[in-house]
Amino acid sequence: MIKGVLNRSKHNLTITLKGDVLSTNAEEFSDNINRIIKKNKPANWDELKLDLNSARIIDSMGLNMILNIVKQVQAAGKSMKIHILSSSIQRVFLFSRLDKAVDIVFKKRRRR
Amino acid sequence: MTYPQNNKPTILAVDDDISGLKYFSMSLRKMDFHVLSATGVDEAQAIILKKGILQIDCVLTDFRMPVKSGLDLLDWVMRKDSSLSTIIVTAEGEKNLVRDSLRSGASDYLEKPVSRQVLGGAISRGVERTIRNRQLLATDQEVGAVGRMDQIFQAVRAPEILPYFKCYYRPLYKVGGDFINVLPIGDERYLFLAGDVSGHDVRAAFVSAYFQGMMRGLLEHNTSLQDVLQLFNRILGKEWVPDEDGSESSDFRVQSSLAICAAVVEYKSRKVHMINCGIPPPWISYRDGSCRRMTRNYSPLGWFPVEAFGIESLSLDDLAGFYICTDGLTDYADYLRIDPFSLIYKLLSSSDEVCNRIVTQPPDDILVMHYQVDQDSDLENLYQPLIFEHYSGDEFKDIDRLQGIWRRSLQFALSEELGDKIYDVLLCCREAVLNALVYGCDKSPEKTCTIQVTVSQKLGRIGVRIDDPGHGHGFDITERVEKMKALDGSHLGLAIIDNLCDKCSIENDGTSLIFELAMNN
Repeated sequence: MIKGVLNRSKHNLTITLKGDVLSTNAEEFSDNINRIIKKNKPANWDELKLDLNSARIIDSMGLNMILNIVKQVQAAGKSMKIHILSSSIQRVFLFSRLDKAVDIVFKKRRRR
Repeated sequence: MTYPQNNKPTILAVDDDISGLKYFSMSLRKMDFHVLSATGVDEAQAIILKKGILQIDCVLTDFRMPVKSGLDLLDWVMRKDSSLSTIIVTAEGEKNLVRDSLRSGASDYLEKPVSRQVLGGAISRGVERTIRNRQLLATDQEVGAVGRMDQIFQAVRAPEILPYFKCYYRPLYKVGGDFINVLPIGDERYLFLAGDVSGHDVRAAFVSAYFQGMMRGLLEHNTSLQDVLQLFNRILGKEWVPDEDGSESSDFRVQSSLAICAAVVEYKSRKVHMINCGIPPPWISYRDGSCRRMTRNYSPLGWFPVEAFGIESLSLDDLAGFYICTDGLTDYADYLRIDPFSLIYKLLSSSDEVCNRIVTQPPDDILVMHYQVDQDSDLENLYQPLIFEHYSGDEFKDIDRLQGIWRRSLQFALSEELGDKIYDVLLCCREAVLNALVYGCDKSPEKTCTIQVTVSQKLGRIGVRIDDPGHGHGFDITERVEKMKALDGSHLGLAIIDNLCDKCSIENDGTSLIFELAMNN
């Protein structure tokens, strides 16, 4: 469901979420992300990469959860990138102006 | 066993060994069989062709013969008449041959040397098997003929309505299945009759034919729908069932019931009269793309006495059409875990070949029809339903499961047509339904909300309507979204819907949310 990898040489922490970020799992994702951040002390990284490549939908509660993470990271003086493959999620991020707060890395999902 | 002189079973014995052939022939004659003999496969085939294969009751053939073997003869016989028993005689220890011959359809095998007793037993069983097979075949052909008659009854007898009528029917058996009638019953007056008789046999076909004929005749002579149903309910529930006290002479019970839905469309009075007894409540669709199910429904005819059948009369003016299906369709939609409307949409808009690929293992007959009442509109311009579901307030906990039903339904009905847009549709539906369940229904199991998803292929648009029984918000959506400065403000879900959709509006003081999205292609 979720995993965190600290790259000490590149000074970044990558957190990968599996699946959609929804009202039914946003709280659990939030707890796990906070646990990973706590475990990998901010002193060891400068950038948080949130890998949402496997998500196709993020709903309003999922969006709120991500926003809270963004605020935390910014408060710690770190930068953040969110990786997505879903054009639906990209539209939600653009209209909500999340792209102004963090770097959104969008690669269009290839059709099988 | 002894047979009447003129009715002796005919056995064809085949062996290239003359002494063996004589042994078989003489032994069988002594057992009162009529015996024909041949010394090879070609001669045996010639005898069968000359006599007629139906005149032969069993073939007894040696396996090892020059040029052509007993298996060659068996293959030929199976192709000509698979009901004719063929017994293969093998030499001792030819187990592989025995296995091959049984696989090829031989009814039995005998290992040489064959005693008269063993020979007699095997041939008698072979003859009985042939007789039984031929009787079954004859019955099957009769049933097939009744089934074809069934189909003649079911023709649409009003060619002028054909452009507006769509139907898919997949019977489970040859006879006694669901039925559909479309009949002109007067001046610009049409009867649509869909039915499902209990059982799938000739008795069911009889009940079905009796009812269809009676209905047509009485309606043509201006008997009301209610009176026809009242009469047949009495026939099934009382007349065809012996009295409990045994006063009826026959103890044979028909024990049949009939689920029917009838709609009479009257263009002169601009009305549709509908009545439903035991079929899943029909869906009525309106010109604005919304739909609802018939509210007044009765049990199948033959179950209970009914004092007076009520009829649902609707004006044609705002109606787009109606859908009638039997329970085989809703059961199959459940099996596929999709909304029934997605299955209906796919079946009514696809070729027979595609439909047969979709409906692979139906557990029951599948029958669905749609009639476009509004003949002024181009059918493709009308929004056609894909999803129509009611949820109780406490189902907010199951939102992932509900979203799964929508996803499967949309993918099933529209295949790749929606592309990535499907996720926008799902997200908007999720936000809107969650809002309706949590706020509109107060999470209460007593309150329900409705979701309707429709498609217009011609316009390339998906329409969604969500209604809840709440008090609504009473605010202007555009203004509200404009005022949203913070992401974590209230009504973020509504803002998402408003941004992802091409059109979004709130009606009925905020209890109805309506939005539209363009499809990818």
